[in-house]
Amino acid sequence: MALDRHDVELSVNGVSYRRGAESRTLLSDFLRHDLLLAGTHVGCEHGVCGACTVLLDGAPVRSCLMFAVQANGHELSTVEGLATPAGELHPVQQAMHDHHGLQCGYCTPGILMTMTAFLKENTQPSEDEVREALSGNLCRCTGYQNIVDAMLAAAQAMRAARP
Amino acid sequence: MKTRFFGAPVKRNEDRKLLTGQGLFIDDVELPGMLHVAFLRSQVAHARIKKIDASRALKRPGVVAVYTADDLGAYWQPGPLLVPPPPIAGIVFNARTQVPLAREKVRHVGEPLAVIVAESRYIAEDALDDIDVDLEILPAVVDIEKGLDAVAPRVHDDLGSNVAAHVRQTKGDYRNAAATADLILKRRFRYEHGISSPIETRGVVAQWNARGSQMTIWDTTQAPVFVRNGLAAMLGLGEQQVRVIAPFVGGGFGPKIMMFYPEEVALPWISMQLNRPVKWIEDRLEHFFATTHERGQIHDAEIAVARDGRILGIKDVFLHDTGAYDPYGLTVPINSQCTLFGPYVVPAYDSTFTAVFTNLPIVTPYRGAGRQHGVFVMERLLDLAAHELKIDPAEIRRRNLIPSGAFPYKNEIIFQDFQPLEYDSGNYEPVLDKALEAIGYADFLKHEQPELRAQGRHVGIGVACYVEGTGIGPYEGAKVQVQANGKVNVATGIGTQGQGHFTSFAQIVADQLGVDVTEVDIVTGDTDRFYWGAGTFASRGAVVAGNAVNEASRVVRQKALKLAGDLFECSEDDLVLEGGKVSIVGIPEKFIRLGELAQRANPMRGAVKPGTEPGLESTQYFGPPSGATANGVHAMIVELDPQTFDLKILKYVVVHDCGTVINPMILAGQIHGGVAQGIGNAFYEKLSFDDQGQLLNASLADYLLPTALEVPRMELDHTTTPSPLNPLGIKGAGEAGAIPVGPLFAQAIEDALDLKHQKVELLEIPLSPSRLFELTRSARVP
Amino acid sequence: MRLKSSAGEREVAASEFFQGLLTTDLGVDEMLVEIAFPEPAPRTGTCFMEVARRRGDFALAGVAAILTLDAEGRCARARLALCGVGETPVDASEALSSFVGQRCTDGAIETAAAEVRKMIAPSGNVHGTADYQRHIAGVLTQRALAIAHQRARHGA
Repeated sequence: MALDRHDVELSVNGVSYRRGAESRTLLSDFLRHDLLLAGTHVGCEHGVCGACTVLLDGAPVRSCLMFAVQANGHELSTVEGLATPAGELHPVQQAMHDHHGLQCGYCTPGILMTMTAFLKENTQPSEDEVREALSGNLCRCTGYQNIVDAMLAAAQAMRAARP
Repeated sequence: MKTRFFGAPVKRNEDRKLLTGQGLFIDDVELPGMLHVAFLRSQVAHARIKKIDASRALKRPGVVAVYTADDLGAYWQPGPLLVPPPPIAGIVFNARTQVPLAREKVRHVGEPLAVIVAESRYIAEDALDDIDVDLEILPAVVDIEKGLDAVAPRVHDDLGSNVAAHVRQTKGDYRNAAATADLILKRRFRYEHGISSPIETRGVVAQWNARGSQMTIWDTTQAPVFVRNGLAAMLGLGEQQVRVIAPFVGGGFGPKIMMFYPEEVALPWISMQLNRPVKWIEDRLEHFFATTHERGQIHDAEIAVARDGRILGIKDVFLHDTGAYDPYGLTVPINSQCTLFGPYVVPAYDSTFTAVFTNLPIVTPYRGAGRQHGVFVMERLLDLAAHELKIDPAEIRRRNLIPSGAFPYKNEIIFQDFQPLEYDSGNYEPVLDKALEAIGYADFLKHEQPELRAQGRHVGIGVACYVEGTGIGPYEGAKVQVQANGKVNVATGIGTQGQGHFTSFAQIVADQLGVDVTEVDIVTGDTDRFYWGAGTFASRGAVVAGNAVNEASRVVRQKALKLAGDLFECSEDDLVLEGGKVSIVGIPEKFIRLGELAQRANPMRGAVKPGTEPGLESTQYFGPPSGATANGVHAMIVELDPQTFDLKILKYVVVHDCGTVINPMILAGQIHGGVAQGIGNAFYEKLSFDDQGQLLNASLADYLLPTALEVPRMELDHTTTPSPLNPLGIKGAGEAGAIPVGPLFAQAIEDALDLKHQKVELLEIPLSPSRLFELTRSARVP
Repeated sequence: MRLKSSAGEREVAASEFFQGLLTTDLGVDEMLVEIAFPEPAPRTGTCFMEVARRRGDFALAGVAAILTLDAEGRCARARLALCGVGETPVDASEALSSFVGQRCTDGAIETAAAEVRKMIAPSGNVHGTADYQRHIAGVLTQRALAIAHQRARHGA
């Protein structure tokens, strides 16, 4: 049987990587086990829970429903790239901390990635809009209320910080 | 002692790690040479195993080993009975526990038949198709009533029936109560709780170190200490040779305290066989079968009441689905039986249950642990009585509340901690008052509802009361140690699945030792760091481990003051412990840092007085005499679309009393999460099995967890009635949010659709728009 | 609907494209590149509504309605389709045959809804019984037609 191995070159959080991958290797597995960026979590592998959400060229995607080879040549953003190199938290991360928007933390990276993309597009969302944007990420611990508060606060902080 | 942190909404120490993706969860464990494990699971619910042939699988490149039950040899044995039957007179109990790999028979879909070890998870899963299994399919027991028929197939052939247990508990004399009643109401209730479905599934990594004769196991367990003890015994190792680490766990909710799951038992053995680390991560589909459920009960219950709505007695006969095995004993149905009392005076009670084996996954506690079922029956009986007697539903509850002077209140029957049920403290009426005020009960019924109804809108209100037995024993322990750098290290045996232990316990220590809460590092769930304990379950972590942490900190505080007193040659009363230092009152320049004091407490040379312990550390244990009873009231206003039966929650209120509160922010989070699961249970989550035990909706696309659009904003309030059973006065709160939501939905929907006047009663959970359509169609005007 | 492959292009009417459960006329080497709708005539109103357990879930029933009125406010053209109630989307425009040339009264809308309920054969699933699906298909038909009518008369 011919060896099924493809070169995958991509950048994640601004860092370039080049690895070999099988055609069927999921992007989620590639990130977690080949690149050892384990902050992206896997909850269902059928595209429903949203825990595995990363940004592909700025847009949220389910990394469990993509193959690593599909990300070849693209720019990915994962939770590990949200804080600054100096360790300063992104406003969305800070707001989640301030508002107790996480308990076990497992769904959190997916929510952070979904919502940073959302807040870039919608800088002044209503609570309903936040809830709708959040509805593709399942959380079993928090009941969502504090996450919603965090996102509204993050939006406000980000608006205030803009020149 | 000043309390700076205790009681404050302190932000969490553990957040940064989790927010930056640096928390270690089970699948993040990567070890050199690690192999990957996949389990071949039964696709049918009930069958005799004729043959398992793994020869093809072994030929697949990348497959390292395949094991079946026979390969395990003497290691193969049914798991231990985790919870023995309680000491109740006349009890019938048949213990049947799960096995590591099925032998002779499979008893539920998903039961493991064989296990494959391979170089990658992908290859291991490919190889599952290579195993040939020859099964003689048998008819399955799925319905608990039919399961008790004389002709029903038997889940366990060596038993004469599918009866797992039969228990009767009584208080007072129900027959007498019924004889004097003005009204007796009898109904059949069906309550189904669903599955925990945490966002992180289960997983086990086992690493056998042959040279060191040490086994390390990472496990998403809520009970690392007992898992360590049991696995050590099974593997023929000493307890000190086994280390179990529960890393960050992505949600527990109960099923992760089930122990000696087949995978937990198999992985360490495999690692020893192959002398390689091995990893198994449950995928979501597996989770629907391989991790335990809670499921259903059928109650035939009757209530005897006086004309003014006072409860004279309750009689209840119920069936409980325990699944294919019953390793967790009778915790769930006993909780149902006991929690039915609620916060009410019930002078006479006659409760009997039969737990029935079925060909479905095992039932063990899931957030609420059977309390939901009992609360549903009581709350619905009260609503039905209220309607008959023309008493307002909130009022009938008020009239039956245990008065505040009646504590400790004895309910006599045996509870899940094997003690006679006794409520330690409580003050129930103010909680009801606050809830009614917050939801605007009187105003809604008098003004809002009639106005909205006139506009054609179908709005309704519900109120539900409950108690929650929490903080049960046996005990927990904690070790507190001041390190040379001044940071305080704390270890305790329980694990953490998001409850904020890293912060709430740190708050306790910080206040005792006068340090900042961020200077306290908590270690949980590592058996090498703390040897003893029972685990995180039954809303007991804060109560039991929290008090152990408090005790240990208190002792360290005494030691620090004594040592400083000796050093400064002054009385301990002249010292203050603050800002990480001990100093003399009024002379702040005369101080010593805690870290330095800790160093001085461990001299390199010289002599010490006999009986001196080195360092500033202490290990203390706390075991409560019995559980502490928390209570609460939920209230809700809903709107129904009378044609589609779709539902929208307009307002949701929780008023809760869990005694002294360590961190109100963390507490609120627990309530929010519990209510969300309760909403899922009441209206969205339903396990749909066919009559052969196949789960038809085994995916998150079809098993509906509530999203941010289904869970409303909640208003929370609380009262504080401390528990006299522990020094901190704490009661547990982890399960509270989930408990009364079912009856709340039933009541509010009945009100919104005015079902009482259509003679339609909602006596089951879960409900759904389709179910409401079916239930109301006979009553509907065509 | 325009389907394209390396070998060329073809056009297929929607009614022929949807063939069965999760099955379309799309060939293994084809991609759907364009869906063309006729431009709506003046005095046309549309409405799509669905009932699902949660936002984004598969619909238990969904209805799309297009109504075009003539200058006198009577119905000139009416189209109705449903999703979620069969193995393919269902063209239920026949149920509106009584509409054409008439005023869209509540009575006419109710009749149309009753026709739709008779036409469809939903199979039910874990989220709702077949009868429930049939019932809400009727409810949504009534509501969608009413809104489409409003929009046709007054603009969206």
